[in-house]
Amino acid sequence: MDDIYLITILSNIGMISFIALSAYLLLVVGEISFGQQAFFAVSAYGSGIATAMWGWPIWLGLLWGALVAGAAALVVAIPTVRLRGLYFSVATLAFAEMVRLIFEIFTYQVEIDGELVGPDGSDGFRDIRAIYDSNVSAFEYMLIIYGLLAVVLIGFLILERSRLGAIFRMIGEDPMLTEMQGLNVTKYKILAVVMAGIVAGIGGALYAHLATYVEPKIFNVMLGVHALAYGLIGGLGTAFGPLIGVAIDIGLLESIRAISGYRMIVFGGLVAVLLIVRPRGLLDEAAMHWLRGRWRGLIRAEN
Amino acid sequence: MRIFIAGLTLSAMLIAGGAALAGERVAADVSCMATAEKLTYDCTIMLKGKKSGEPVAGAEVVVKADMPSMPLAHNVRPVKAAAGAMPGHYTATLELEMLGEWALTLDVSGPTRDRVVKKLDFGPASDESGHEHGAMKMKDHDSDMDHDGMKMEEAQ
Repeated sequence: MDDIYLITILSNIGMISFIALSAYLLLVVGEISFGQQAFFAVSAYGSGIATAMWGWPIWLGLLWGALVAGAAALVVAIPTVRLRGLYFSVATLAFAEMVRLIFEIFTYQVEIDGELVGPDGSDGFRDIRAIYDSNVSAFEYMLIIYGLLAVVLIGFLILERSRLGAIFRMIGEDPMLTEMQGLNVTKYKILAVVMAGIVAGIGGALYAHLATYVEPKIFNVMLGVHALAYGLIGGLGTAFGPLIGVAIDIGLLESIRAISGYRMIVFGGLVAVLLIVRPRGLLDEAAMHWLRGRWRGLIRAEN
Repeated sequence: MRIFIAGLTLSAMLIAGGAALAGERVAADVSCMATAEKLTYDCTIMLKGKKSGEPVAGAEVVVKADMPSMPLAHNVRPVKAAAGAMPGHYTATLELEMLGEWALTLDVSGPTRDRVVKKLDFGPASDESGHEHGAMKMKDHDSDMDHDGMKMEEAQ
């Protein structure tokens, strides 16, 4: 049982890292989104429908889920990306709640082997069994999760060293100054929102197939707030920041069983303290600059 | 090596597109009762074939609990259910982290392999005799079996 428990925790850390990275990308461009859970949800349902109801292969289901989430993000981005600060945050929250409420009433079922399969409003969507029926063990699925997470993380690291990554950070620092450089801020922000939606979507599709069951309640604002908090705790200086935030919440706090029932309170307190002490998280830009300097110094010393 | 095996498995999945295993689906009825220990519940699980109605005896049942309103946040240690006195009956003791609605995932293996998800409300325990955690909880939201005398009605 200990093995299953450990694998479950590690899998959860992996899956929630996607939505944490998704919220982090928007934080980099200077926007706070309370609605990344919507794209997680759209992909969970979308990929579940594709594999459980339409009989698509798993890889296509995962891809479809991510693309549907990206398309949903585009729909949100076009009207909202011109909003700034709190207005954007409220718009994303409103969209996420709208998505959740739509899934509360969304019913679409087909009969497969004498069983009704598909979303059934607030009763949720059961039997997303493509992975389960393929006899993939929990350990193997965990490796799949971390394999995809590694791909996304490498993508983020490449992005951060690219011109696009520099533009995203510039927009986050000062959008008006970025506009004065002749760059179309609106276009780049739409791109960031869509990319964030796709990343959240990968996590949602993986989650649906691991749990085999999703319901609208899962995708409430709690998930979005956590996703946001992970970046703020771990730091906005690198894509490893939100992963550190996830590891602190699910890994470290989970391991302290004495506070298990009060974890949300401890977590909330931790976020509040860190926002005061280190507003851009543990691994903020200054910390990353210092770490990179130390690293280069070590390399030079060895040579 | 295990990564290599997992990679091969994923490749096979991509090719096969998820071939289903044979075997009858399982219907489950779950009822839980609070124990004297805070947030600890004794659960009785009844398994039978969904079509045949035959009790599923000799199975290995692992129970995992997750809270839908706080997904991925509560990682309750999974427990292995023990076989009960009657065929198809199993018992498990769950240690939850808080009251509220939980989704119990029953992973059944042995004579048949299946996964069943049941949602239950775990409310505060109290009974007429006034024991703080003397009796019960629960509402099984999606039971697909006839309830018998073992299932208690919502106390509060």
